[in-house]
Amino acid sequence: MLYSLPDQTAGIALGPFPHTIFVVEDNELTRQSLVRRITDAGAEHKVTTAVGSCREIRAALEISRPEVLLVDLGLPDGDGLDIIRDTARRWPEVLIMVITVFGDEVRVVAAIKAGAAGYLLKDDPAVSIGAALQQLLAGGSPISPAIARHLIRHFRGDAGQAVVPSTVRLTAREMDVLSLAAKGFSYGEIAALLSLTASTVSSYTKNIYEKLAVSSRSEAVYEATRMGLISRQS
Amino acid sequence: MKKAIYWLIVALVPVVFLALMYAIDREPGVDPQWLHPVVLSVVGDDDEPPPFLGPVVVEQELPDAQLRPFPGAASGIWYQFVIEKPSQARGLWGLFLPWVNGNLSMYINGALAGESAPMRRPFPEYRKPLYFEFPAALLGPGKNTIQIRVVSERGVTWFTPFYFGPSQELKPAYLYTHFLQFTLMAGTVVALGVVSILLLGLFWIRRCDTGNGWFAAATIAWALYNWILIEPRLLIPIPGVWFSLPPIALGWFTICSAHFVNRLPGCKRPPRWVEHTLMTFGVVGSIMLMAHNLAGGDQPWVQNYVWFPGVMLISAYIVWQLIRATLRNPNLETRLWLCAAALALVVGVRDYLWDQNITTSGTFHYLSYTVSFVLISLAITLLSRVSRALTETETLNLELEDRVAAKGAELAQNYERLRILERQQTISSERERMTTDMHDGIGGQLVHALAVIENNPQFQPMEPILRGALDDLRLIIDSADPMEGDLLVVLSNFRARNERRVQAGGLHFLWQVSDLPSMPDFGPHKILQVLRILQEALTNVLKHAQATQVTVRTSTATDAGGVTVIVDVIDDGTGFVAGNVSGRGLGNMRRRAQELGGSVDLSATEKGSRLRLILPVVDRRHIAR
Repeated sequence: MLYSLPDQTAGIALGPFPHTIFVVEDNELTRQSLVRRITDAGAEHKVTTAVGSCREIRAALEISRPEVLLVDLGLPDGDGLDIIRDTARRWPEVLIMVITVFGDEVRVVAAIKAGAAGYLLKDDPAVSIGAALQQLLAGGSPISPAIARHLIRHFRGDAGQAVVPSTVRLTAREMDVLSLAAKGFSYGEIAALLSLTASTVSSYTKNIYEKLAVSSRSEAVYEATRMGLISRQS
Repeated sequence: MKKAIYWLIVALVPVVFLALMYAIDREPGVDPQWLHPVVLSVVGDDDEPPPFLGPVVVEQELPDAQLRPFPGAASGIWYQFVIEKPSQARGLWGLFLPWVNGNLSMYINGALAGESAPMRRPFPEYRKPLYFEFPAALLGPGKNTIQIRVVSERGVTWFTPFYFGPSQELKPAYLYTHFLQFTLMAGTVVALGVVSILLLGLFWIRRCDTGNGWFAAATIAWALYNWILIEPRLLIPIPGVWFSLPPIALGWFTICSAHFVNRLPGCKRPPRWVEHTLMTFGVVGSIMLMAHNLAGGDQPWVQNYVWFPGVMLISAYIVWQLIRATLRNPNLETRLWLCAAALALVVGVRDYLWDQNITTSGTFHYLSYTVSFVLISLAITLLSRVSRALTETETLNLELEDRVAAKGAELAQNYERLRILERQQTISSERERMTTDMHDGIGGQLVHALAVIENNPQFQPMEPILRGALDDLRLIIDSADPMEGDLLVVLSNFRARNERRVQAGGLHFLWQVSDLPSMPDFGPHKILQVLRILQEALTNVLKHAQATQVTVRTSTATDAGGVTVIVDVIDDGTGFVAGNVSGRGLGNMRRRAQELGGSVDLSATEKGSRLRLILPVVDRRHIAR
């Protein structure tokens, strides 16, 4: 299968070592199907670990880190969000994607806040999975209108959240990207409208996700301080 | 112009008042034939009429004033005159004395015929018109000797020309002067007493209004002054003390009034030393006056050259204070008080000059009668203050009501907002719970089933059904997304969901949307209907049209029925066969569109077909109107 990679990825070597991928999904058949589709998507991706519980994935991560971690949220022995949060904190170089059935705003935004850079649908065909992994490895992130709308509200600070710290405010361009994405335009269309390339737009999205994660952390600190969980001196 | 008129009034009030007083203080309208301007007089204390013989008898032209103690220890004086009884005299006769000072008794031919009060010490001292009435039968034929004894505890008597004649000639004149000099004065005492009690009450309630307290003290002093003038008895049997009281009271009335005026709104409070000086003058002057009277000095010089001039200066100070206040800020209160003070000053000066015999017009003091004007000023002041306070209270009450109403409305609004937020919160958390349930339950199971099919090709026919079920579930989840009246969000989600399918079908998705008017009351059910209509339309295009591209285009239209939103799904395919329309699910779409109050219209275009969904923008405010 041939891939026409975006310009920015020109420097990334597609050498003999494929990108390593870890998968956490508790339903065995679904997991097997997912692994198969990832493998089908191209030889440059390789699932080296596929497990069904928090305990197993934590153990695996202690030994080695993949380039991409695919996490289901509802795991039998814990919350996938904790795996995402811990991994993002300890090994920020690992790219994390959440696997969901619906790709719904609630679940995806929670995962992004924990540190995920994208999401996959559990029944996505191999083509879509391949494209999503490719985008992620190229430094981009996918977005849906619902998520874009959530992000707009979050960064405007009008959704009842604490005021967003200035360090993680969005630039005007990032806001433009979000507002077009919320109107249903694809990355290609947004790029054309803003005179950018599609991959730039998708890297904007990834930046926005990181800012959301940072601002969520500071929000959590703020909340904790407010509730007296963290003393102000520390 | 208005100012000039006011100052004219200030000047005219004393003039008019004095003119009025001189008019009523006229000579009694009695036939001069009854007037006796000349008598014989003898100083003496005898209880029996003395013989009017020898060198001690003086022919006295009236009025006769004994302003210094009698020589020796004497406290009285006898007057005598002789009249010839007219032959026709019968009925009642009388002796009318328009103005006296002292206690009097009258003897006709050596026998006691009447007395103002029994001749017992301490002698009362009358300072009002007196009238002795007796039967004409007491007069003998021919000459009759009438003798009058006048005594005074402090040795000060006053005896004016008098009338002796038939009662019907004299009595009306007596009643008139009595009314003027006694009844009116008694009235002022009662009025001042009542007012002082009212003011004291007011001061008691509002201790901060010291002005009221000072004015209460002033009215009490004036009431005392007027009362002692008409009270003949010596209630304090030491004449030096008792007869010091009227000038002292008058002085203190002025001092207290000055304090009151200093506290009037609009008047400038003077430095503290001014009021201290007034008080010092009052205390020192009172003591001097009383000491002088007790010592029995033969000239009341303290009263005439210290006390009253000082009091007049204070009155002038009051007038000056009020003129300044009126010039600075002319309000009703200061204007009224200026009139009253100017009147009191002018009349006070007149009384002083009259006492000093510099002016001789009139027969009595007029100052007491200015009470009426002062009381009118006070009444108007209090009334205007009360009415102002009431108006202010009413205004405040109205303001308060307005503010309470506004706060109430605000509260209701807040409550409504809170209710909406709470409802949204409930819907949102419920939606989250359902999404999680579906995700972990039926959603996961559908994905699982698809994975099973993947491993078991014999179940392959099940795949589209399960995939359709999963897609429908996603549609339901998406429809539960609170889109807050923004139809574009619904369309965007629809596109994101279907992008992959469209691309997989080899079609190009053209997205031609613009911002749409907000659609209130567009809940999950309506969103689901729109999504199903669009899904159906897209499925039709993918299945039947053999198109290369599908365009979603939005627009708005305004007509008589209001604003409508138009969503077109346009393909460049084979068009449609009219007879096959129902088979393409158009009936379902129509039904759903009708439920939304809109319509669906399928038409052929130059190349391909166009499904048009028309939705009314329902605005609750319009319906309410």
